[in-house]
Amino acid sequence: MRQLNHNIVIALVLLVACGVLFAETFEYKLVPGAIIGSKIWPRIVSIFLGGLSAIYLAQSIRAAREAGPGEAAAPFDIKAWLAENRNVIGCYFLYALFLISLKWLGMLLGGMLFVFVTLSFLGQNNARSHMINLAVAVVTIGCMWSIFTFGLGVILPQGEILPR
Amino acid sequence: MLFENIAGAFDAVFQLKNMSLMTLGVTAGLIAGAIPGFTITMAVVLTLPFTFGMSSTEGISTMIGVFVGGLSGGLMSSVLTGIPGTPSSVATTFDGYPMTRAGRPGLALGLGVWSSFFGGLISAVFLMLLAPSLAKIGLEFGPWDYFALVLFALTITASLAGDNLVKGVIAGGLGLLVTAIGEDEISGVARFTFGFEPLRQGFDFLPVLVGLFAFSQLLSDLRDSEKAQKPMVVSDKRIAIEHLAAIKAIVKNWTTLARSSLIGIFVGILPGAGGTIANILAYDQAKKASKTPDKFGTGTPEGIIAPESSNNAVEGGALITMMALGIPGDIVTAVMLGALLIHNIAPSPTFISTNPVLAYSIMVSFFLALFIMLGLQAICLRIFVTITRVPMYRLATVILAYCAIGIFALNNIVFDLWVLLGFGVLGYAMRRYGFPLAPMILGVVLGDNAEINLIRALATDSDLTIFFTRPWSLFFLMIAAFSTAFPWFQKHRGRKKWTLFFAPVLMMCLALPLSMMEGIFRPSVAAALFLTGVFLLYRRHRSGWALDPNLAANQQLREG
Repeated sequence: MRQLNHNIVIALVLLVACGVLFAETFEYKLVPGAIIGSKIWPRIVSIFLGGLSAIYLAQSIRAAREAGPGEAAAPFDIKAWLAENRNVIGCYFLYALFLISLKWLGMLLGGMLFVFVTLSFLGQNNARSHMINLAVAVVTIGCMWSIFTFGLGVILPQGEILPR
Repeated sequence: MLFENIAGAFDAVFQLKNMSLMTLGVTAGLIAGAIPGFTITMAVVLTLPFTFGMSSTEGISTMIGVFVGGLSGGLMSSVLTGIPGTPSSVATTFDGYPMTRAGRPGLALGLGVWSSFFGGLISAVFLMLLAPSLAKIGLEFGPWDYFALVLFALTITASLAGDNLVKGVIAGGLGLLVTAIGEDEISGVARFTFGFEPLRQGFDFLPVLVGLFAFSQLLSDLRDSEKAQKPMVVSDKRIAIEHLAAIKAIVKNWTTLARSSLIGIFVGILPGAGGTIANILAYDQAKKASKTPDKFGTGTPEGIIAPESSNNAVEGGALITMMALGIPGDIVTAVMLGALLIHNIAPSPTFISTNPVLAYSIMVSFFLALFIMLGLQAICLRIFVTITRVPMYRLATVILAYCAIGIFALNNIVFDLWVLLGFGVLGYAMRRYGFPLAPMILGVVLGDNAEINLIRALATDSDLTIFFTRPWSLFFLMIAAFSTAFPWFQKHRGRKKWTLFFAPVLMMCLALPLSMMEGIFRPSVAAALFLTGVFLLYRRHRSGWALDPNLAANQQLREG
């Protein structure tokens, strides 16, 4: 039932999103001289997706009804969900922090810090492991940064901490 | 003309720098393909940023190297650990791992390597012969036909999602939606931006792709802490590939090799289908055709030859459709198509005639990469054994950081990194809740193409019935409809009577657009198809519409 509930929620979210997207197409004005308006394709896509979402919703509701009462009683446990997805949520959060810090730390320092912190978060919590994580962070990011900066001539974000 | 073009392509590809890049690509592909959880698509996607500074030929050759290496790399892990390195080598584990456990890992690897080589070689020949002919057919296509072809590609990919057909089509629709965001190229009107300025540029293909596929895959691998911290150790470091014994076994089973390669090429030509289907299909057919089907699953050579030759042959077939029509044959060629677009090259029916050197360079690179793969397999085996000692969480984290550097290199804007993160979250959620990613990626790659052709069609004539009166358009719409119904057919085959009508009705329906085409050959094919359909119906009527219990049992086995 947990899965089925998810399906219903996803279908509803998709339906609402399609409605919002469809409504937005009314804002597009026909440019003088244009034969076909810019709204045609977005409308087709949003109607197509909306129709499918409606079918998905109907299927999900039917499947939920057909599920036995034992299954239906299983409640959604947020704690279990968080524990199950701890690593994934942590990685996304750290990645977002890394992107925010790019302005100050730049790609080299920020990248090293991201790799080190993420490895420490995912790996074992002991001194030896942390030392290996540090070495991995410095060597891999240092190499990649050098290849892109000197080898491919890409100007990566420098940040404000390191001198330019 | 053909030989001139091939000679020109050899000249362009056979440069020291290009060959070195291809060797690097094959090595990277072999290693990435060998690591379970790292798909070939991911390897090709991650190679893309390195190709920005290269010429088109160098960039494409490098990626083809990764592509060929990745296909063959999957077998190392399948044979030595029993875990498929890539989805396209799932069936290799069925007999590859039992052979290793029986003490013949060298023979299992040899069979895999040489079957991959011969399968690839056969498909390279087909690629060179078929692509120009298919491109000539593509020249007959108008915007109506192209739009219908894109629809067909999307529906066939979605139909491969099996029971999740609706989710597959929704994923395809989401891909189309992604391409609709941003300024309309013709009128400059901002669409679906909701006043958020950075969205006016739309989403670049690469961050979307890396986010959806690579980022989400890495995080899925990290979900289970215990698994992520364990290294995937392969104990025996001194495995020698038994080349001679393997070649002898392949020569002995040449029919299996030929049949499986042809299956691979056919599956590759179908838009959206790929090695994942081909290797299982080829294994299944090899088992059915074998004199000793009971030996399958115990470490029989045929069980390795069939999946490995077919999954390599798929790529020649997939490249045929991509180069001749601009429609990717599978998800990896979808990425290749995106890569070509980044290099300002748009494959279409005129691609081979207007860019012959580059087009044939792709074919020649594919051909040469097979030889490089053969030479590198033994070296990469040692690297693979070493890499298996690194825990997954370390590999995945370093690649996450690499994704950021590579994506930033595309346009030098931080917004792309946020796009990567956003699509990474979306990709992960889609994986978790059973939405297949392949249709979405195909939607992203083909969305612009679909819109442009629809607008062209409507601007030429607003009459929608043209979609049903033009033979090619009708042909593609019909196969799209039947491919949508295919999952139900597969599910009920051998159980419900209506499934007895599926194949004959498909043949009779396809005969209609073919009969509308010019010339003698296609109407003749139409007549043959129609008569076969009638004959099948007659035969089933004579047998009292009896269902085949074996088909139902097979389906039950698959579901089980």
